[in-house]
Amino acid sequence: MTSVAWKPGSRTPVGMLVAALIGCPGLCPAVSAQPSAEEILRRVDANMTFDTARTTARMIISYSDGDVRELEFTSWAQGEDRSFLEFTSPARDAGSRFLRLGPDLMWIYLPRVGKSVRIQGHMLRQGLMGSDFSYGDASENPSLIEDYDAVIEGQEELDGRPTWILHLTGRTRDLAYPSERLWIDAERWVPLKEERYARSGRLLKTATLGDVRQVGGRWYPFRVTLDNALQADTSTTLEFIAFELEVSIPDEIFTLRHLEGGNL
Amino acid sequence: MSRPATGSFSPPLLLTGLLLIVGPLVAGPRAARAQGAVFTGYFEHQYTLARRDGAWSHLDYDRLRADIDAEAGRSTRASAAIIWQIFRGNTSIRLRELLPDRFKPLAPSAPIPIEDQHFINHAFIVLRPGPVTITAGKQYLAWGRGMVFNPTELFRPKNLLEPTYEREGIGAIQASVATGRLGDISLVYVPDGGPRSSPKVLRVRQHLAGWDLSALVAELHESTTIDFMGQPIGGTERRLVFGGDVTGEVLGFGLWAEATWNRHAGASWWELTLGGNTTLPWGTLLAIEGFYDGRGQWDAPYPLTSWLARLTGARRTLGKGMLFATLSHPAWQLWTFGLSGLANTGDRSVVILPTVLYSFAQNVDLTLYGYLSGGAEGTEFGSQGQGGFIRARVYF
Repeated sequence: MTSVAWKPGSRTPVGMLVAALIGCPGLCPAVSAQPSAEEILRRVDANMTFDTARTTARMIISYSDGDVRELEFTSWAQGEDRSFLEFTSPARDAGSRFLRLGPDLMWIYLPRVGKSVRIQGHMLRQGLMGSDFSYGDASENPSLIEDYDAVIEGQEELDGRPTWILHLTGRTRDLAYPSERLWIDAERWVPLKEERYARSGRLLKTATLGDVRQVGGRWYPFRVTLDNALQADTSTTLEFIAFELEVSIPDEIFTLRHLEGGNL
Repeated sequence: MSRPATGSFSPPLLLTGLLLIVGPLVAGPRAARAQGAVFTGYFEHQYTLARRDGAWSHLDYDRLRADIDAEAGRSTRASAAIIWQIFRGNTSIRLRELLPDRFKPLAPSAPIPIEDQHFINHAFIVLRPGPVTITAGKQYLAWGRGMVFNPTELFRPKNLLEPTYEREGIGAIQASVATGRLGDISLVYVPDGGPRSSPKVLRVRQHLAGWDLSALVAELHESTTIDFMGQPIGGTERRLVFGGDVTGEVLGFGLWAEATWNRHAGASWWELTLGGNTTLPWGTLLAIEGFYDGRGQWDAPYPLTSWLARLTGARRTLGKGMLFATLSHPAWQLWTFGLSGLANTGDRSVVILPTVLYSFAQNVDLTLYGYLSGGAEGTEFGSQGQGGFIRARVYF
């Protein structure tokens, strides 16, 4: 989903044009001029997807009994499909790496075993390092408009920001979340809240996005909190410590040989 | 193959060990990383209680692992780890305890000591001149997708009762050439004895149409000689191996297959693993794996040579058909519950392995592990008894 930074997407031609506009607040359309649902999705895709990015982030898993686990990682991403992530702390998980080369192509490297393992099929449902984010969350197509049809359900103020509420319905059956409801910041084109549903209509996950900052002429949430309805005793917050867009990344990073022991 | 060295520390090793351990503690994590080197490791304590042949025994150990990883630019990397392990309790075992009743009278009565040990778990350098990667030193050669049974794992077979536990590296020289993003061709040379008798492996990996594929051909010279009551049993024979594995998914189910065709001492046989896994919507992981070993027998009784080959690790199993199934579920808070079973489909002996994992703190894991065996006397698991262990591991 767009909330996971190490999984970027390439821009569409329309998206590139919109992205250029977003960098200039004076040129942004007024909230009252209602865009279509498709136009909103295009603007979100244009704002939230990028060509390359390097991220350092902290993942905080909070348990209902007060226990907390913190993990830090660095990630590199290129285009829609390629991303590489390495956990740097805590000591227990340091050196664990992930390589993603497409929607269903993910590998994990386990340093103490010295082996990479394909993350297959429904294994994508498992939590990423025990968090509320699943491997599947990290494996979605970041471009909403490619996977979903959208309708506008209304407008609402959320955390002091004007938002459009969109209901999304998946075009294919193989999506991790067949339907979603999004609260989109009507001026910055950033989702501020996401509800993700199963085919049965059951709410699976709720994401709350905040600490929105401007990076390279676009707006980006630096904090994402995910509540998993199937894992009621935890919530996971992702905080971005450093976030660089359009950086130069050696192609070598997105290879199995780098996953299994490459220098960074 | 090389074995862990035992005995007293030599001064250089002691100095290295002290640097590995004391350095990070004194200087702190930031300083430890200051010059491109990263120091990590763990301390592990385990208490094992077992009941076999109607008698209880226990074994207690401390294990300290110190790792150092260093990078020198983009094209050179080094990694090493030293392990110290000390044992208490019943620190010896008699061979007769591991054999079925009919062979017990033949086994020597002298106990085999379980000695304190220290050894280099791995120590290798990676050099990357252009598209070639050269890895020299004691390194991991962990191949194949099988969870428990890996026919293509030629050098360090997994422990069937705890297949995910780390394994020692193999002293080798490996040269790999990348063939695309997910492929490579590797040549592995494992110095052992003379050049002719040293194992050699050619391995190719590639990703095609959503499937991960590998193929290998290997020449090994395996020693199966065991001193049994003063009589050497077995010998050293050339073994040829052709094998490979394939991994992918169908309808959301992860699938894998791994196989080898072997020729050794005038005989040839197949080893084949088929497996699959899925994760249920509520997070429970289910996996099942079957294994066929052409060298095995469909039923007991097994000959003494087979028992001894299994004890030395030369054979993975005694039976021809094996089945492994496991489920694990991340339950309440930081607890994960698991249940695995291993069965010999021919002699109908089984081992049931319940596990509980608890993340006690950020870098502290507790593991509770049990094993319960069942089957007639003389079958593969019929004499394994019952037991379990509790293990605490602290990472630093």
